[in-house]
Amino acid sequence: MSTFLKALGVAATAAATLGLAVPVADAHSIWFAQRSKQLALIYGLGADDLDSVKRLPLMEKVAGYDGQYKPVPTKLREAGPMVMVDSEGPVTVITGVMNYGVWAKMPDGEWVKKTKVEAPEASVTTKNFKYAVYLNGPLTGPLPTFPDQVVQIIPVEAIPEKLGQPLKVRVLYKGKPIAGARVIADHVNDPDATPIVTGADGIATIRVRNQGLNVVNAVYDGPTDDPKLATQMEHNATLTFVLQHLPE
Amino acid sequence: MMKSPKTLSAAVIGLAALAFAAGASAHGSMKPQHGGVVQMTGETKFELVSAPAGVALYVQEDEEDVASSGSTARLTITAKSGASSAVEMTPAGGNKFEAKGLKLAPGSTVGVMLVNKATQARASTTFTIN
Repeated sequence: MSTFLKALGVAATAAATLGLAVPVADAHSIWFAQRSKQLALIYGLGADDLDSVKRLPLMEKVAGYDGQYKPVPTKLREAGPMVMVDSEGPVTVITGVMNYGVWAKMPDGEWVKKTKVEAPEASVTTKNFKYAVYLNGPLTGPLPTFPDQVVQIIPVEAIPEKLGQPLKVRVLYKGKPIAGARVIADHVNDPDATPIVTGADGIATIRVRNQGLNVVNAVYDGPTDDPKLATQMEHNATLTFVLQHLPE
Repeated sequence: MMKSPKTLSAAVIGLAALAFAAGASAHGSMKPQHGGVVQMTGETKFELVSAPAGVALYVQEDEEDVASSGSTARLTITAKSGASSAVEMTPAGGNKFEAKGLKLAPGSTVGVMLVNKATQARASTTFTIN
């Protein structure tokens, strides 16, 4: 069984255990992380750092912003088995959008890459988008909403400097707080954690887990924008930041 | 890197640095070697020097000089007003880049982007000018 299908199985089991009515189409996310001093695009789940090069054509957008949130020309570059981020100047924020296509849940429970037209017998068909926001430095002001981030995780307060501290985040859908988004604090090291479900204010209070890389994940299942092809849309967003270690 | 910005005073040359990286580092001395201001990003050390003749940049990685002939260095200068401009620096031997005649106005920020010509590997930092 492929890693993807295994992940779907785990996610589906977790959803069932939690009594979540909404099926999980794809638990994988995108985020950015440092690899050999460079910033790389990561596609994966937990410690699974999967083939991002193969999925590079699915990236609809990458953008960089300086400390004043002004755009800095930024692009993705294939480098061997990895995808690196190239920007023309220092960036404080990097964002990305991946269109992962339409997937269908078949009567036997398997997920296949088919639309509602191609698989009318499917119980669910979902159009999948993945979003990523990476904070590359201290923020000079409140993190803005980026129009291409249909679902975005916003820190409501200053990000703590030490692990173990609480952090209040707000999940936005099309720029507005959304209820029902499922938030976990550490997509890399604790991907099977019980998610916190946002209320009407979109708020979830997490505990920062790592004195290092933190990839916060939020998944929201929204209405379809194309009923002929899919019954719903899954929006999978990450907010990534790094807590510094002590001076060496 | 989520670290509080730290301003370093350098009254002699009128430069300050926004330090996103560790102040005390296992990757080399933070002491300026050319009378400028030092900024460390990861294991890459940038020293920016503003002089009447122009601006110079010296780069080291893990205490070793980075040959300027093998990299490009671009400065993105953002004035206090918000207007920004880019300057491509010129390799000037050893680990030195220079931009002759360039003046850095107080209140501006200077983003540095270093790109290895062979690998496209990048390192960057930001200085603020006092």
